[in-house]
Amino acid sequence: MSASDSGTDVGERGPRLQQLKELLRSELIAILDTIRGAKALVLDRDVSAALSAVVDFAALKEHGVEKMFLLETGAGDAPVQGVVYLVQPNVRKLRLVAEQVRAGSGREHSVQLVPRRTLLGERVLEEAGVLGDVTLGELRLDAVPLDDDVVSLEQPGMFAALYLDGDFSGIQSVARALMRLQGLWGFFPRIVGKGDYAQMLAHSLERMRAELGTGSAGDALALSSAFDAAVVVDRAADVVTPLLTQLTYEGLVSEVFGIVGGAVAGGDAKGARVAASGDDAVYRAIRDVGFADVGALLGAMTRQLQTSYESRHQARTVQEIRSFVGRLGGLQAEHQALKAHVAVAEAVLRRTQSDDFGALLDIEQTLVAGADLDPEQRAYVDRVLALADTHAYVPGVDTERRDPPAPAAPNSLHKVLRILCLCALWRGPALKQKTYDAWYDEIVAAFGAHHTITLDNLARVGLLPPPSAARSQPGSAHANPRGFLRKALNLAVADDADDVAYAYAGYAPLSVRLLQVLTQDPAVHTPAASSRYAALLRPLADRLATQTQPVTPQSVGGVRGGWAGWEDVLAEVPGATVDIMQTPAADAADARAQRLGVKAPATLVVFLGGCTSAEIAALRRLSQQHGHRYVVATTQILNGNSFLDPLIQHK
Amino acid sequence: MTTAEWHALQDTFYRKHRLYQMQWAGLDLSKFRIAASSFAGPIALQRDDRLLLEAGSAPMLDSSIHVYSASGQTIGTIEYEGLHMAGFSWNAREELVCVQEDGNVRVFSLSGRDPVSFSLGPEAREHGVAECCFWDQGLVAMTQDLRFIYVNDIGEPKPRMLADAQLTEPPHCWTVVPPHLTLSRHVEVLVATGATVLCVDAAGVQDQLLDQGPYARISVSPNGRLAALCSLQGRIQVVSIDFQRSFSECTAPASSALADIAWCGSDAAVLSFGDEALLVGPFGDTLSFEFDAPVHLVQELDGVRMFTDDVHELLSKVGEDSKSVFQIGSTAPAALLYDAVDTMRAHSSRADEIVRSIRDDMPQAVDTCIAAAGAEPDVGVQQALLRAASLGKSFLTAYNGDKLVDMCRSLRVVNSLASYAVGIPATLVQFHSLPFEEWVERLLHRNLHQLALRICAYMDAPADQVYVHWACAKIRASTIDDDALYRVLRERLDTLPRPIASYVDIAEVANACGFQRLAIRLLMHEPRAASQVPLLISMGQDDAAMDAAMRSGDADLVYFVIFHLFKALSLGDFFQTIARTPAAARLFEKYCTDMDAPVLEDYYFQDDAFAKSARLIVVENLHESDAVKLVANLKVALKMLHNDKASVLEAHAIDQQIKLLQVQQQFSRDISNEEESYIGLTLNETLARTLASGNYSRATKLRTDFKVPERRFYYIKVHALVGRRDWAELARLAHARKSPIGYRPFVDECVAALQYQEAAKYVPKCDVQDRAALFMRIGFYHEAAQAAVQARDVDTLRQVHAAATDPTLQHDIAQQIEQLTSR
Repeated sequence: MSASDSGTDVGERGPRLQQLKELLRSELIAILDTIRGAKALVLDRDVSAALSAVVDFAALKEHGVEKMFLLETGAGDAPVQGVVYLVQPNVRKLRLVAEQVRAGSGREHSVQLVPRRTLLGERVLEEAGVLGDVTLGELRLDAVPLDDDVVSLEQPGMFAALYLDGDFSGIQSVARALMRLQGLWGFFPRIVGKGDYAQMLAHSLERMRAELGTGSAGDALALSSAFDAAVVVDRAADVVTPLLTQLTYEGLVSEVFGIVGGAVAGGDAKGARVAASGDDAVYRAIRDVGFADVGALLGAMTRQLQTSYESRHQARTVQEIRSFVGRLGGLQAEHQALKAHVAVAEAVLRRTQSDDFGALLDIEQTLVAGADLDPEQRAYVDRVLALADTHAYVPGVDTERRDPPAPAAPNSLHKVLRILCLCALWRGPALKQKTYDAWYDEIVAAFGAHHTITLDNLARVGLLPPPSAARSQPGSAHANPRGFLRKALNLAVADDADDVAYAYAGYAPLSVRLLQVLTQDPAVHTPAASSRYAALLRPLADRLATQTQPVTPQSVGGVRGGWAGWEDVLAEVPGATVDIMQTPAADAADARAQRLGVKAPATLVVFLGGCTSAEIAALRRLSQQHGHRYVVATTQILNGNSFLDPLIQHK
Repeated sequence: MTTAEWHALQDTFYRKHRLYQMQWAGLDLSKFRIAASSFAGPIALQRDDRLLLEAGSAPMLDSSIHVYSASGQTIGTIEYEGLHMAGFSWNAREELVCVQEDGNVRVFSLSGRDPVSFSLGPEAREHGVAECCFWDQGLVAMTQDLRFIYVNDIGEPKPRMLADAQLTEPPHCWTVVPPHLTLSRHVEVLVATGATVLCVDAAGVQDQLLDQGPYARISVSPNGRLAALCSLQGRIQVVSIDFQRSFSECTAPASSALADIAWCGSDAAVLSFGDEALLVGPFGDTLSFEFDAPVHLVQELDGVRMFTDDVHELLSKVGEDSKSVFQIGSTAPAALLYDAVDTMRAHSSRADEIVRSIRDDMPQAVDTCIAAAGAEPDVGVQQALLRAASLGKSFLTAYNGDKLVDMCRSLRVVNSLASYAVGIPATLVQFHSLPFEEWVERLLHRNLHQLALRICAYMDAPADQVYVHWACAKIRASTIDDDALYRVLRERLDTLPRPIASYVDIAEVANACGFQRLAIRLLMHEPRAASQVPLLISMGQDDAAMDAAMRSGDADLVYFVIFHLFKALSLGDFFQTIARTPAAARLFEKYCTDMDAPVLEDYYFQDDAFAKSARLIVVENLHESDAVKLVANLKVALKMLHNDKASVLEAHAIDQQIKLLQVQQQFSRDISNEEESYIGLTLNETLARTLASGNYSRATKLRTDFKVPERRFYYIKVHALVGRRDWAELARLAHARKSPIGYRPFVDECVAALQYQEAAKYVPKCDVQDRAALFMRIGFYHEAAQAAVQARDVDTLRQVHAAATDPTLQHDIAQQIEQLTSR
């Protein structure tokens, strides 16, 4: 890449993610064209959302797709000659595929593994005796741009796979996806991260780069001038954030309704689609506002609805009327969309105003502040457990919503577990064994005996450890590491509307704070104190005072000093610490020059194990404050329910 | 004179250039079956086993396949034994694909690797293969019972049947239309039967409804738009591929039977009749070429090669560039420039005149000369043209010389490929249409390492593949021991500036040749852990393979090793081995869980993993609806849990579950058939349902039996009582003794059920501060006002004032507010 190229890149403020979309689309079409004639597409649920972000049905139809089915149902007896399966190479899913292939002999079957063809997948089909009857391939649907600053790596359930099953297949897929990004925009000059699997990912990336280097293609890729670094956050480093209630508008929609494939789960009252993605202008404008502003927002939306109605009366001349009628179609659509959004916002508002929501938030804030639950809060937990609803609709997990959301969130297992996990995580060793035992009993009585497995799972991944296990954690210099982190990283921010803590009503996500450490953001960083230890000794008030200084765009943005000086803090965050410089190849002198000369306009933030909408909103706020783009690459967009769900033993 | 090789056909010219005098002295081609590869590749000969031979006359009596270069030099011999071949052909990678009568296909590579075999499937095995038709990626075989089987990709063969054309007798001829040339992008076959042609693909058969057949030969043009048909009567037609339009027609000389058709470019066909080759142009005019012996055709991208026992010639269309330089009487700038070189050499001043006359057209003249050099087969003429270009260039100030340099370099490589010793007479067009590495590969097939290396260096290309091939060849041919061989290889490979990429390829060969120690030592140099794994496994180095797989960070490779171990070892050994790598053990566990594999039970059992075994039983019984069986199974699980001290809570939970199931069985006996069974409900649900059905004493017993905490019981009971509107019982519950959950839940439940009167009864029992707000919520403003006064809560009082509609009340409240605030 020449210097002038990099100049235009900076002008466009970093990488254009839409490039990926075009790439993915052409790969998909090429695969569809290998099967002649009319065909049916059978989709893994986990693939369908990604697919819809890349291509629309009209385009599929153009390439012979007559109908689409979900894997659970299969193509049935649809009158088609060919069936194309797009599934993840997951054992259970492939067994289902094999079953359907056996039942539908006489058809041409093509099984495309997403995002990569694995030996494991091949083996499952072989065991089932259908490997010879299908065309096996892969569709690299692994870096799907959901927005101009969000890429989904399409590996749902990654946290559970890694930490519960020890199945690290996903790391390879993520590494391949990141290699794809590096192929387009050059190698990340630096890979920084936190977490054991973040380290594994970084090593995979290094190895893949080395292998490229020894191939006949040579070290063709230069260092990136678009990204200054990739920051990898292993979800295990911050499990608290996803458990908390998100308080941005999008976060709340996800908590109240659930968001599926860029739309509100279940749609509006009539079941029609309500967009919940950046493609929708209304939604784009409101998704990141804080919870306190939802009321005002709703008012503004209603007013806008009115104006869009009124505009027809303002037409006076024939020409004006004609132009109005010309716009009518678009206006009606816009009007409908707005109406749907207002209905959604109303439901969200009803939820946030309910007693139940207030009680829940109260508990979260108490815990975040480091206090224990008071009797009233305990009573609330007891009540939720006693009046458990085993059939509740769980937003973020279930997709078939039947009823409009009730003002009070139903007492689902997910809701209970989120509270209990938060208690265990924040209280740490202070949690009494007696309390834990009582909870254990309550969960089993309320949700069934098979949740002994769920509780064991949660204990094993460290979300709900029995106090005996929590106490025996070695290597920590602090009695309650989380309390230390709260202070050291200024996680509890009571009243600062500018802080990223707005997304969680006073709690700054640890994941985002880690990034702020790297970017030397004054919210965590005191420029005067070069030593972190000195900073710690000073009273907290001092540190707060420095935060009020205006952030100058020149002083922050992008990954700067690395982790140096923060060793004591990082020691309390679970997992390995990663900091790798990807040096340019010896002969790539221009790459080095670039690196010294131009400051890359973007940083890639990789969430290994998913991130929440609220975290994305917090990063967007940082982007504005820093004048630097933070592009998110996440394995999935989570809420607390979808985070916990893979850990739950379902019936 | 260059144009001596030119033959005019209307206004176009065809160049017939003598490539080689064949070096295979005294070979009689008529005794052989021949497969010649395109892209100037090798020629394979096998003695035709259906022809009779005179005793003692044949030099080659064996059935092996002899491979010659295009110049007739021996490249090698492929030992072929076995059944009669139905057909053989070269594919795009210079591998010889041989289809046997019995439907087995063997793919021989020139680089000494073992042949790859696959079968065309049961139909082919049963009926036998009659004939084959190939394209560069795949093949179609016709069985003896006249069905067609196709393989799209010989590298990954998946034999499939085309639709049944219902043929009753062998077709007169048939040919294949490769997938990249068809509209559907799938392979089609054209079958001449009766007077017509059928178009057969996987989906169906389409009769083209022709009546001028029967056709003895069909050939499809390289771009797939035209087909040449030759009828039994010798009439040649060129038609569009859909058989709708006829472009040209002519009649063949009746002298001998048609042997072959090949396309020269996309608009002219060459037909061979014994010693004669006939070029049929786009308008039906013909050019005839005579040879001394039967001629064989090889279709190329940009022409046709024709070879006999004796000579090898290339027929190709003369391009516009060559025409403008060499056509007699041409006054094109390029032609003038070409002349200028001669005149300059003769020290004539006319050279200057010529150059001046070209003037502004000079860049074009230079370009044309360069292009013409590329099209010219003769080295001398190439040089002359390039010299002309060079001369012209010197008159231009701003001309980018890269084109000239590139042409010189490319031609130098092309010419060295075309030498007799190498025998790859590729044209420049062909040279550019394949990646450079392919050409290097072709040199390596002929074991020309030195030349390959030089060419790589000359073209500034990485030479890894040359070294790898060299090392492999060295190992294959070696007779010394592992260590000596290792030293020899390292000596050479260590001198390279950059380490080569794939030691694994070399190690593989070493292993295959029995040098296992060498293979392991070489593997250590392989940078990609991923590539080491399969080879280590095949060498029986299981532990090393597992290590390499773990190092690669790719779970899929670990699975690869696991599956291998699982197959290779006894179950006990397998468990022991896998336990050494805990990460692998977890992957195995996960796989078995997802496969519902019974082996997991054994695994947990031998590992004394009691809790896991118990959980397995719990999961297996999630959908068990027979309570008796369920209890029995859970008891087994419970017994296992008792073995594990860490699972006290879990054991207790399962114990309780068993008890609960027994109680539920009992309850279920008392209900009518329409009602849903109790089995499967949770303890809380069971309680709630018992209460909802009014069976309070039973609920109380449940509560004591299961030690349900008081608070939980109250929450459930209040909810259930409000649900069934049993206000008397609710009141009894409230008054029996002080509620452990307070009275707020009583109010909340009533409010949620819209029973405000009932709710009002319990508000006074709530906290003083809450009462006003609660009364407000159910619209009891008088009481709300009183409560607020009691609590001295001015704010709430104001709210009541605003909400109340009764003027007297409003007045009272106003007074109260005044009193409270004035104090």
